[in-house]
Amino acid sequence: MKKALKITINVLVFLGLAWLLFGPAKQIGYAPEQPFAYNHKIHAGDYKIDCQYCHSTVTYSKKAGIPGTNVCMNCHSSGVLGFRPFANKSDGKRVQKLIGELSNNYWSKSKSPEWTRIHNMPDHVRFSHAPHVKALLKPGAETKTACIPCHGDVATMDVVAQQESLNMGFCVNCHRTPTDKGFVAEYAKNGVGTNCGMCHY
Amino acid sequence: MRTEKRNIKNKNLNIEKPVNRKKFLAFMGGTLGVAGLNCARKPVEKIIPYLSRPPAVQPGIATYYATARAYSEGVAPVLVKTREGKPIKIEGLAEHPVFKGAVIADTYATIWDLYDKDRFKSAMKKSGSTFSKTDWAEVIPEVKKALTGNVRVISKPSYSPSESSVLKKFLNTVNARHIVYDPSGTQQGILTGNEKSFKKAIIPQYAFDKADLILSIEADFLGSWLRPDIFTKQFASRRSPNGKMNRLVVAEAVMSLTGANADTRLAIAAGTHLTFAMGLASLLLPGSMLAGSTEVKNALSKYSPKLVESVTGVAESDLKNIASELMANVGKSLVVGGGTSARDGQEGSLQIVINLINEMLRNHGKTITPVAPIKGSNDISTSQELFAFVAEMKAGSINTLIIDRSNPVYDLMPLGFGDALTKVKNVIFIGERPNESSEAAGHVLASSHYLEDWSDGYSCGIYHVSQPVIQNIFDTKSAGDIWLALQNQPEDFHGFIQNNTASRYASGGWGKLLADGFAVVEKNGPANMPRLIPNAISSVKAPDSPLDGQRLNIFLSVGIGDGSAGNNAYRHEMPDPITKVTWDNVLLVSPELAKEKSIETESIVQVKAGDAAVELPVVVQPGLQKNTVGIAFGYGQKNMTNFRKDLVKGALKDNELGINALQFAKITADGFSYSGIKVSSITKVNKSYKLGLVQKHGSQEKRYIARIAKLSDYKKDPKSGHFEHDLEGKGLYPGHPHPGNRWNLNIDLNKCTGCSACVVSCFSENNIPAVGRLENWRGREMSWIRIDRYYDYYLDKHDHEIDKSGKPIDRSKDVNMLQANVHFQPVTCQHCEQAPCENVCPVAATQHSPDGLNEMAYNRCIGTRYCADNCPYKVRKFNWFENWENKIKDPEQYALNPDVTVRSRGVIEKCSFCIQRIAEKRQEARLQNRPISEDDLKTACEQGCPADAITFGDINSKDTKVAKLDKDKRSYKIFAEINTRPMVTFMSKVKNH
Repeated sequence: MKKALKITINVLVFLGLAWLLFGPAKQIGYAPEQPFAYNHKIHAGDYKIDCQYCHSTVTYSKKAGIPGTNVCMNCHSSGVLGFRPFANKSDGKRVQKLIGELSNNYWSKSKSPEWTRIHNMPDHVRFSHAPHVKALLKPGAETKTACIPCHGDVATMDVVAQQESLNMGFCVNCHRTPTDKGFVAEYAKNGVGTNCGMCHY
Repeated sequence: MRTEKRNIKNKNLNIEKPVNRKKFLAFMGGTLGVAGLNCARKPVEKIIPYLSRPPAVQPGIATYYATARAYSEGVAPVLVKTREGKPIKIEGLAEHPVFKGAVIADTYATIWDLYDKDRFKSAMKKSGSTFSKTDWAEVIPEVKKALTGNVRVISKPSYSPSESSVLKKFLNTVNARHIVYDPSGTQQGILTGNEKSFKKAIIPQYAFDKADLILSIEADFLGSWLRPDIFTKQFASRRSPNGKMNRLVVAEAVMSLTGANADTRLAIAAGTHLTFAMGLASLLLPGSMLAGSTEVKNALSKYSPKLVESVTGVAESDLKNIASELMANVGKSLVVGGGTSARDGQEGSLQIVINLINEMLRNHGKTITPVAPIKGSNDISTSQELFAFVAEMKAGSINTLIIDRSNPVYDLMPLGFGDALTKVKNVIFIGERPNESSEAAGHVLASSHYLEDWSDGYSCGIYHVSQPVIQNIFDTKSAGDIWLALQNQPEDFHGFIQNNTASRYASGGWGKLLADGFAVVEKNGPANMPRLIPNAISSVKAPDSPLDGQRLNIFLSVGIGDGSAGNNAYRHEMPDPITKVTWDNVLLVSPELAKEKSIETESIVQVKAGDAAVELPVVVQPGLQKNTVGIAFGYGQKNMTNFRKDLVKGALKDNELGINALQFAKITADGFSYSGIKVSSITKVNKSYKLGLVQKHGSQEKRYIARIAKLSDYKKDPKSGHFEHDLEGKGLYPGHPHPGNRWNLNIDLNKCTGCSACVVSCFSENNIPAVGRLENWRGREMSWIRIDRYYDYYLDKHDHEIDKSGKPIDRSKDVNMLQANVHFQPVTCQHCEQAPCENVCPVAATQHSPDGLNEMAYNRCIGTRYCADNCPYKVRKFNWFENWENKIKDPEQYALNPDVTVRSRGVIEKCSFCIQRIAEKRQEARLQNRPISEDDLKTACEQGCPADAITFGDINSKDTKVAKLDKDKRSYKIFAEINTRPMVTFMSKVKNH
């Protein structure tokens, strides 16, 4: 009995470790509850609003930028609820309620929603959006084609969930063979570093 | 052999229950499992966007503001780097026509003054003996009620025209008087002297860059005298041995930073600077334009070279040599003097003699001009006014005293200011943080930091505006706003500056003024000083017989200055440029005296002078005459008692950091005496003490690390003073390919003055923690760039000279400790091509990059410290403790650079060549489809260097500045003989001697 217990514990520990090391990345599918039920599918998908309309610093800054409430209010100023007739009454009521919440709980109270960060790099990784967008955005292509390799097609998601592991293997995979991974050829020509100091400093 | 083995076996038997392999594996598995579970979930972070993002604030992109630090010592124009609305780094304002981007260590350190957790967080009111919070609406009427009877305002000198004018209005409305004092005495000495010599009390503009020969008498113009930033820039611009290199002669008692940089340094006895100056003037008199003046002749006649030798200890021949050199450089020389260590009880006396000498050498109008002066008017009260004021206080006839951003209880301790203050009915304190004077106040009006609020400054003929770069962190007001509020003015200080002052000075308009940070009002140019009054010299009384016994000089330290901003760990963490002491105030003792009293560095001695008997630690300092001892000013203040316990652990006194030197200061009928104070005894105390010295040794031990040549030898052979090891292509390992850029740092030792501005700039850029005095004593300092200081003691010759066969010449018999030559050498990570650290890292945490950097991946490092052990340059630093988490207190974290990882316990760190700046500029260049160029980036140390001694750039392209410097004959690498092939190049020092 005792021996069996001993063996079982060891096997369990081994399996557990193996799961931790080789199992699927925990972050894939991470979709925490957000303070406000913003829907990417409606905005970016149905209405085809360009990613940069809200994430406006993505082409020249390290950070893509989370829009301020004033960006929402550009369209949703008083009275404007949606831009097409709702399929049914309950949909209309839900949206009305949401926009009321946006206007009353945030905008008129001069408050911004405290979003829970989904795509979160560890502190020792220095990721900058601008060069990546530059490298992935082919001339004439839609902005979202530059976002999809890392974020998935957000325009199809009601609730945004992380699509890729974003771990070091994921990054290095692209950096090693940039042209195969859809990098703009001219950018890849200059070489994409894989030395530690590219990301860790 | 056999017996040995048996012994080992026997030892093993001591373990009663040996851990067998199975058990070990089980434990290990369990530990790993638990450790792994810990990593299973990521921390949850929140993102809070702006409600409406201001267009200028772009997350992830730094915004720079040109502003100025106007304070009691002058105006320092700066460029402030802000990220997401928070200032994180002070940089130089390169466009400024006078400063040209020069910033000193003290100004770099002000970023942490802003985020000081010990600042006043609101207005305060005393009830009983404790202070309680109050708000402005309540405190202003209460203070106003107290403005009756005799009202006085005491402050330090001001450089802000707007503050002066609102204060003037306030003084008129309440019928008050203003007392201004200068803690260090530097400005007062010059202003008083110029008033007596020229009837024009100004601090003129100096042109060190136009002088071929500079003589400084006690004035530490590269470290603490007036504006070291301007002077270092000017001085270093003439330190190229290929052009007409300047020559610096310094006569001083205690080794200062300027003395350490001197081509010829004359050690005089403490308190005899006047005798030296008079003796020199007397030698220059015959044949000069003042030769006909009998008053001057009579005043100087006594001071023959012989008398000067007996009093100051400077050999007759040396004095005569200096005099003839000066005479050969008429109109092309500059003589300066003064400072705290020349405050000898007769305010302005040394300046009068200096004025006379410069007049005889026809330097006025050439290297010294009254146009665009550093300080255009004298607002400092005379010592007599100060004495009378303190007497008034003692008599109880002052009803209300407002102390404006100063600490007279400490600074005027020799006058008994603290006792006198108890007789004042209402004491009101305006200031940023608690000090001795605020303790005595009934009301505290919390003032803001210069980065938080509006102010302005006028100096060097240039009007500077000081604009807020962050909203007030605490509930504070600017001093200008406080004065306006106290006189019922509805206007705020911002409006006052814009409408009244700026409109007068800045013709380009308000918008341009804010963008530039300054507006040129008067252009600097040749103009003569007013007519000199030769008779002024007759009031100067210089010692004419040798001073008896031990004499003490109180000097101003480079690190903490007058100590008013001493509540800043980085000001203490920066080692003193000369002694390399951190977190302490020491008695500097000559090697001869140390030998006689058998004391050494780190001994504790008791010093008796007058009524004071003080125990303090000792540093044995070469370059001092036997009877001279020195101690720095500014330590032992109340504001230095708030440090975290682990930083100050083991200090001499539990509640005091450093010893207060003012205990020794004397008062004379004419002023303060900080120089040549008689010491009755110095006795060794049997106590052991640990001094936070970061460099305990001053000799190069013949290893040719800091190389030096005489100018005459250099002219004959540019390679003089050093030699090369040609090991190119040798070594076990193949080199790394560098197809694109290859970064290189060039340090010109001839320009480096050792001022340590780069050290503090690096602290700020790279999130380097302050570790405290005991850790520094253990050699665990964290600074990524250190400045090594070496002495060699051979008169005229140098420690590391070699004979024709390449062997070092032994000169140990010629040692003359008085003639110490000092070399400074900044050392960062050398980014070796064949890095010894890279080879030994068991986890490959440190590797070489294609652009020539020795990279450090903190997240890979497991802390074996093998790399630090294998580094011949001692530049790798280990985090022995968690230096941030739990230790950093709100709002200190805002000073951290978000682009640099905050390292935690157990990892090695080191200079990265500011890789975050390289990465940022590389990405920027790529976005613009162009290669990164040399003009794009500067490392923090390069940008921080007021002497332009550091150049960083790409050595792979042929025409960059750094590539050209690398081919210079003076360039060499340290420890080239071990074939590490560093990417840091040094250029040997050339002494104009």
